[in-house]
Amino acid sequence: METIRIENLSKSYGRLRVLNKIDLSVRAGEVTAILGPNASGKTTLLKCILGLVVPDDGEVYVNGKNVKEGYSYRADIGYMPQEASFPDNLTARDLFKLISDIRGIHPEAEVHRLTKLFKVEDFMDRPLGSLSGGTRQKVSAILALAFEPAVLILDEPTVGLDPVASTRLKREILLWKERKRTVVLTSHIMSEVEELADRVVLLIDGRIKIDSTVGSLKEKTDSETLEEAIASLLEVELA
Amino acid sequence: MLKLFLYDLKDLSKVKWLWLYLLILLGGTLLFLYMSEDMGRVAISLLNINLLIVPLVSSLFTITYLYDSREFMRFLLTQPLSRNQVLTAKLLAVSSFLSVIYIIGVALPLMVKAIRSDTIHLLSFLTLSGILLSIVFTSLSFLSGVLFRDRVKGVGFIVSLWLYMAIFHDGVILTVVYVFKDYPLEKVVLALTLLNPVDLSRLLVIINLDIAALMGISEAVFKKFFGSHLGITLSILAMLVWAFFPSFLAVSLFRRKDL
Repeated sequence: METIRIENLSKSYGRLRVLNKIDLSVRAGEVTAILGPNASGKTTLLKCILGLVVPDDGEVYVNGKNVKEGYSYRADIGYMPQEASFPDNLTARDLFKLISDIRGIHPEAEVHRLTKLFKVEDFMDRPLGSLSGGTRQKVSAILALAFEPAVLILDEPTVGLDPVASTRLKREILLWKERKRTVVLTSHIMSEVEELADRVVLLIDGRIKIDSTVGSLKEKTDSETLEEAIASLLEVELA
Repeated sequence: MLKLFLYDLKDLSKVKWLWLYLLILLGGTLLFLYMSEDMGRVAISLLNINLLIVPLVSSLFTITYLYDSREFMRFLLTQPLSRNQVLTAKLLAVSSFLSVIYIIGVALPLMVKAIRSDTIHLLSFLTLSGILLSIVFTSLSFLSGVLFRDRVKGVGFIVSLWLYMAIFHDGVILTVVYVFKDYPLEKVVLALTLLNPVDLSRLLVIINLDIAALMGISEAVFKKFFGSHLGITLSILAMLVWAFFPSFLAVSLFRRKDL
């Protein structure tokens, strides 16, 4: 089943064309990795799905709802940004309460399980400004997962996490896939993508150059690993 | 939106600078009350705080708070919330908080002292002008924050606006009056006064004081043209437009802005 559908999506900042006629559909039960060199349009694409960036042209549908026509579709999305930035004065407990109130769901049991999993129970009542970047990133991961959304959008999810938390987060992502939910992620760590993703979408200069499963991409480039496959493709593209 | 509004209020209550602002207002008011028994004089001294300090603090605090909250606002907008809700809740929270600080810092001590005196009318207008100025400059700062992605430009714009409205606008009126002294200028002066919320708030208090020596050109023209009552009503209405219009514009622009 198709969860996200993107049709003819274009976005420019001034003269710079960041996304150029993107067509993409993301299915449930699949982990889709959006890859590409820096400034290739990955984050803008995610922001278009989240409604943070207004496209110049084209449509984005999440669970059949056009993102231009309201904001209720975001109840189906859990988002983990590349860098968690929360108000310094707020505690993690206050933050969970605020987002629970906004969403109208209070998943106490799931929050408890995840805080235990990521070992942040002791930090729940401390101001977020006093926590390390890694701990804030764990709080951000818990916020994305706790409401059990149909779609998870993760922007460089393991950056800043320690190896234990990183492994646990990856395990959660795979569980998500087993539950037939949708995961879209970006990452520069190819081993991580290979471990998690079923499908790879390679963006270069705002255009989709490759949309393929990990296996067939490796086969096509005659590579042992995804990293080699992507590197060989990028070398050709950027030459 | 109520939840966001309450959250923003709670967040604002933890900002130490705002408590310092309250202490300064309260200290200033108590000092003026201690130094003079004449409530008219106290009102004039406090009017200067209204015209300079209140707009400056409202502008600088609001714009800094808005830029500091930008990342979290972006995060909130990945939740099922509209842009309208997020920005309006913040705008209402900052305006209300600054207004309450003004009421506690200035209006309350004045009212306690003057509750039975005949100056209560004047002090009510002084309070109204302080509250309206807090709201107007909060609103203008939100507009500046939405217009400029770059913090330096946003802060520069709002400080320049404050400098113009609080200090240079009178000079512009005087220059116009001097250069075009051979022409009837009442309507031009009226229009120029309506263009400056700081002038309007001064007018609100000075017209009530009814001391001709304190009146500037704009107050004199306003009084001559409309009389006290219509002049006051008109200046309050113009201040409300100043409070509402930049907020409306900020929310409209925010709805279409890339975050």
